[in-house]
Amino acid sequence: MAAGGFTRLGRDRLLSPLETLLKDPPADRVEAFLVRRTGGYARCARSRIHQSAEESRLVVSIRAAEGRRVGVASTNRLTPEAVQNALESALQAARASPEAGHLGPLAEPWEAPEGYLDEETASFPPAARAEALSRAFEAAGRRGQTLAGVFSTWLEERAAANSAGLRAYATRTSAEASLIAEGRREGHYTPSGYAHGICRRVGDLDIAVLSERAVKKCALSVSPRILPPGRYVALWEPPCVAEVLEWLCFTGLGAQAHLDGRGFMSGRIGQKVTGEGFSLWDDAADPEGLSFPFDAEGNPKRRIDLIERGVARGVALDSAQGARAGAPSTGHAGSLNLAAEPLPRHLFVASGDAPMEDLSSRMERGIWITRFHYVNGYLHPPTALMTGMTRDGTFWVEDGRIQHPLCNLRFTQGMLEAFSRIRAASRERQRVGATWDAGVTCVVPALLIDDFRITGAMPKADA
Amino acid sequence: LDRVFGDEISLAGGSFLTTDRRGRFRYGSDLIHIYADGTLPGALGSYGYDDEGVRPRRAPVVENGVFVGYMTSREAAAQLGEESNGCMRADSWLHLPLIRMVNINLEPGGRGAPTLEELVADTRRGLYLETNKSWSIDDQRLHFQFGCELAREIRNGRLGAVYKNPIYSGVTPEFWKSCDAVCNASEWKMWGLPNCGKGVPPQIAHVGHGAAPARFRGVRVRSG
Repeated sequence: MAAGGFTRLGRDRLLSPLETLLKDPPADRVEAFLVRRTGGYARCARSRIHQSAEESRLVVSIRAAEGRRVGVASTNRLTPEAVQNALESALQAARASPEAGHLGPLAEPWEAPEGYLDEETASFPPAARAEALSRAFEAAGRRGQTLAGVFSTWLEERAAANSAGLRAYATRTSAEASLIAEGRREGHYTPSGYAHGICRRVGDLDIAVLSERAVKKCALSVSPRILPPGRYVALWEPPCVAEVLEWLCFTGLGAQAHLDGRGFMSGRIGQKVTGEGFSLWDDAADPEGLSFPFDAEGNPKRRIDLIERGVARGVALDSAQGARAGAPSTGHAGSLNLAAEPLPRHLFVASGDAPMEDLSSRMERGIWITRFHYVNGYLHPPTALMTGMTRDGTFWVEDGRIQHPLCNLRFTQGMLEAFSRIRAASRERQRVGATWDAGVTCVVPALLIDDFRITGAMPKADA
Repeated sequence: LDRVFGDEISLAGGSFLTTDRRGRFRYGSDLIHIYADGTLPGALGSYGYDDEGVRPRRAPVVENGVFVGYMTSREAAAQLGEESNGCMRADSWLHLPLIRMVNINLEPGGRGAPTLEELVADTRRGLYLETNKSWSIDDQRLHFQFGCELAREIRNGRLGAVYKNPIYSGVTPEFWKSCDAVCNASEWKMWGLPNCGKGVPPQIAHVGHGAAPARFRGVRVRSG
């Protein structure tokens, strides 16, 4: 099978070069984590593909320990000599290192499921991506608009192994598209609309449907008006929810921030941190997400209830942070680097009872937001205070209907406070791919939030 | 320049500095001189050749407050009939190169420009902000908001009370036009950022920013 010209390696090919160094390791413990990604993307702007690439990338990470001295090295080559060299480098690093503060046990052998693989996605050629986008360009052009965005398809293979006998292998395919339709520029403002989709199978990703959704939003975005700062009822489409969750992960849902005392749930497990209407969990076994069954250390990924009806319940752990916390790993090691924080990667938010098409009818007056832009969650992590802009479809709603578009807005909002003011959540949920951390998916509803704090707006004139 | 041509719409967005504004648009006060320079020794955004084989060079971006130039590549500069100033970089062999910031610097104040101590002494009422810790800007690079670790009150030319987590916001050209003082070369320092993000798939670049302290009037500041 070919993925843009690159073939799948398979279980034996990935694991067999490691056998010699794992069966008779020159160290107290050796772990290996292999990630191979093949596939490609077409990136477009103004209805032309300006970047098209096919990739094949393999990273073999080796972690070795002598006592509590730990070192990590990596290579892109899979020969026995290359992995042996990587092991020796890891050992040299270990011998030059102080003892690790926390070191958890090796993952025990277990029968890991092999994930899923869609042949069409794994071998999707660049010409097919270009063809799908070209048809979308033509359709947008008939409406006087152009398209920007990216359409990608991937096959990912992962393997984990260690000197305790663990051997695990799994695959995953994914197809993702984000499209932005743009209209004619008005001064420094260009009307735009956005749509996004991510699936296991490229056959389930309908570029034409996504494009039409973006085009419709764009058509509604001509001649926006200014909205003054204040607190408003706001309808967040699922991409808004997903971007905020990504920042909650970075700043408080991983064990390091939590145990260091920097996170918004630090010292508050079992306490109410937000509203009862908000429940958040991580579950790699749920087929609605896009996940692998094991983490970088080879541990099975366990479901974590992060926030349950507003109450803080837990954070993501790897073996080292688990040892620090006196708890087993939850299977969320992202890499073999001990300094890398374990983070949730397969997030779910509880849905509500409102059909998506009725959600706006539950606000008398307010803002409809398609997505956020440049969210930053470092303002004050203990309160999850974040800022960001809206983008590609922001509208003023009255009596449940869009009245006119708005100039893009800036928000500055504590997100725990926002989630305590959920007026309604949609019944339907959408799967959204993360902006910055490939492989992270959120399955989330749209949310209607009271008193959302708008603190600024893009000006209509800039000179 | 790739942002101006729309190539970054899929992630970071476009730019309000369209090509028709070059040489005409008032970006900042007369004190504002900004330049790109990938040749500065020891700076995070310096290198010998970019990924198109072009040597970086000093290139003016804003002169006397007027927008005059871009960071460019061979493929982008050609669209303007110009030569690249060597800003095309990929973060690894795996990715296609993009136009990335090199070292983007604010020139220090010229003859007669103050030291920081003199600038503080010259300020009747204000805030001295230190150590950026959060950043956000809209998709046209107009409305921004930055957060800092600390602010110190300035009253009658003296530093006073400390405030935590100040946040300041504004509109890019309005902010730069409000600059009425830039400290002299003795206060100029090269800073940097190891993780500037751009592109899809995301790429991380190390970039430099040299600056001396400067004063801006009428900036909106609140507490985070």
